[in-house]
Amino acid sequence: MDLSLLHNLMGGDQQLVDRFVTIFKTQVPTQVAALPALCEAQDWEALSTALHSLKTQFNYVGMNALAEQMRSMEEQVDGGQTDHIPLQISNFVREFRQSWQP
Amino acid sequence: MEQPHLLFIDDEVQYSELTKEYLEMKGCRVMLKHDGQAGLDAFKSQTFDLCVLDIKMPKMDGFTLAEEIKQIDETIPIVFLTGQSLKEDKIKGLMLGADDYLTKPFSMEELYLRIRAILKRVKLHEKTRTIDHYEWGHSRFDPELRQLVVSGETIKLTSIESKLLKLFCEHQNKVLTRDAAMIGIWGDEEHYRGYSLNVYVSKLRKFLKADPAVEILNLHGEGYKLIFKSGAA
Repeated sequence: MDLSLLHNLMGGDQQLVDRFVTIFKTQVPTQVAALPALCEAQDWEALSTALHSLKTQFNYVGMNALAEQMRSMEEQVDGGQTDHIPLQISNFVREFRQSWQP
Repeated sequence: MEQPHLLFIDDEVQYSELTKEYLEMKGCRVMLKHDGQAGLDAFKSQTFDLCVLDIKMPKMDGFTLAEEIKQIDETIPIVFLTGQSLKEDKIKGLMLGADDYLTKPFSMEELYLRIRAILKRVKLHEKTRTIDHYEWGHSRFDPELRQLVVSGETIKLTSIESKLLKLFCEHQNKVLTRDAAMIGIWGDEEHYRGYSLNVYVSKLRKFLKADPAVEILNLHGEGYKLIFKSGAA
């Protein structure tokens, strides 16, 4: 995590930054874990919204590579190119679980 | 500046909750909702000074929401939050009457400063704008003359009827609480005024009955809302 952007966005308020990080650590893994179910249900609209939201959250904490993956998948879903999305989501969730250090 | 009442709608729970706290710390009152439909319901139930809308949200996107909101109150300032700085989004938002844009991730301070700037501008505009009459559908109301013309028929209003109708016009498509109405008319909100208020609202409803473009709604436990039906205001 790189919290410099978050510090900047929150006007240097360390308490706000800490609270964001705490909430992030609690909620983001759950949100990521919910992605495959949305794929399975082919609820592309909900998937796109979830990816969109996660993308910004990853951006906030400087996890830009993950944000970029979210952006790419969101773009594909929005463009109706969903054939490869289940595989990409599955890979993403696996990578995220392996790399995530709460 | 008085405490501005903001409607903030963003599906990104974490950051928006903290932004709400930040704005409250800066002296704003903030109602936060996390989807478009909940935001629209909130807008219909209360009066706000400004809306901050995310664009991509569940149930109703920010553009559709802005259209719905502008149909209810075309003067309400709107700030859009966009995920990317997409030119198309900006153009679409401006076409819908957006007052400003912020690209995510956005700085809380910048959002606050922009909100403050817009509200200052709106307030200045309101000060310089003198409304001498109101028109809708088949009606025209002149508060100075205490004269209401409905479908060609002229009605001379009493001072209280005129004050009440003016309050409704100032709050058109927004909630006018019973307390605000009583304070606006009599300068206090004494309980015994309630019955008189009911009587005056009934009288105005009767006067306006001939104009299908307008209606005074009862909002249980809250007050009233003068609504102009689509395209009539």
